[in-house]
Amino acid sequence: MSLGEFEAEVARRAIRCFVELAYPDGNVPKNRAQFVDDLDSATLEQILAKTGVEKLPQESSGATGGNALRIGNAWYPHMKMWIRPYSEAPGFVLGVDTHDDLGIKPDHPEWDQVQQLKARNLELARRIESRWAEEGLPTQEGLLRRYLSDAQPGSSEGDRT
Amino acid sequence: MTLQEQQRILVIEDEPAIRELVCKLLDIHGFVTHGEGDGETGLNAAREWRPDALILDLMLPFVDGFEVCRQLRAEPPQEAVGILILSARSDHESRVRAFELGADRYLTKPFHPNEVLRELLSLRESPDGSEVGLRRRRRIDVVDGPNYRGQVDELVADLFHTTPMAPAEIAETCAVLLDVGRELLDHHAEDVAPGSVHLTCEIFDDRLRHVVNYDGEPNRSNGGWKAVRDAFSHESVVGEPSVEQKLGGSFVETLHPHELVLTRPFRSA
Repeated sequence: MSLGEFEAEVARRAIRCFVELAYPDGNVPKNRAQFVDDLDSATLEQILAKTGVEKLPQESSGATGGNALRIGNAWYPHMKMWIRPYSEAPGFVLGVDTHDDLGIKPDHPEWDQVQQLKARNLELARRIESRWAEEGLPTQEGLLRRYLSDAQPGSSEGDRT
Repeated sequence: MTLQEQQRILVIEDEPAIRELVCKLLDIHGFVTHGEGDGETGLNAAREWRPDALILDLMLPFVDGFEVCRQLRAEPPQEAVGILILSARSDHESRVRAFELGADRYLTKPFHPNEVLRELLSLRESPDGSEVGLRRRRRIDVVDGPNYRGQVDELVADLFHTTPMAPAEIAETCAVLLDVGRELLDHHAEDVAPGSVHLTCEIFDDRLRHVVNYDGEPNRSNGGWKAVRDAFSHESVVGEPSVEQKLGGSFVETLHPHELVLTRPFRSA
């Protein structure tokens, strides 16, 4: 399944937005900063072929697939941005995978710290997805709002995307 | 009166906006909903509110979705509740773990609202035995030609290995599916967007069931759905059997929105 209208310029906007919020003080790790610097001259194919860009498994159903980029954030290096195909325009959706399921049980000595980390990651993930939506980039939330807006003419669900 | 009226759905999702929107989606389709934002409060709500089904995210604070599944399946009052996982995690391990812990259905984000409705409705079918004897389920998306053909080829292998169908019958079934897919992709592209038609082939011990679903945009004209219905049921040319005759049954519309089902018993059964 293709990624529809996901093009190099869209990828650049989405990645830069992620990086800006994930590293608010501008201290982006060297390899990631280089990745961002190289975006300007890259085609979409070149961006998706870069080191650190994963290809997500496509099931036989074709229902999933797409790519994930491990961009990290200022306190946790494993947070990812994902792009997945979608059956309706624009043909793709962006999302954040906090990627912090560390398998720690409540009796683990670091349980509380891990919960704090996850809460912080989630809050950042929401901010990134909200910013994408503000910039007109497709997110799961935006698609749901659009569906509800279409299903309920006169509703204002579509206004927030 | 619709099938889902009065069905109580508990939505456990930590993203407030998604939780609120999923509840709203279900509300307008006649479900009764309640939302919770973490696994612990979700478990408590499941115990007190006794929903018919859960929509459950996996990545939840404090108690994750896997643990919610495990605990509910271990409690006799809750063991029959339908559980639909709605997660950004598309990896095989997460799916396997979720099903092992008792999930009934698994959708990955991004999900289309119609998929959620369809899966919730299908949860109701399981307890009445309609899934008994199910050996294999293969979903085929009518997308571009080579992709579609590849998926049909995989179905051929399934039919050879898991059914008593003769090779000629299998070849005919697959030829029909290829013809229908080609017709939709080549002649109805304006009405039927690629990827909006899904064919699910369910192989049971004694029968083969074809389920056709159409996820066209709700406000689009009905041209897409009509094209899909026609493609799967029309008479081809004079003197030739119809698609339905070739598949060995008749397509009927179900209570699910935009769904056709054809069941073909195996002769040897």
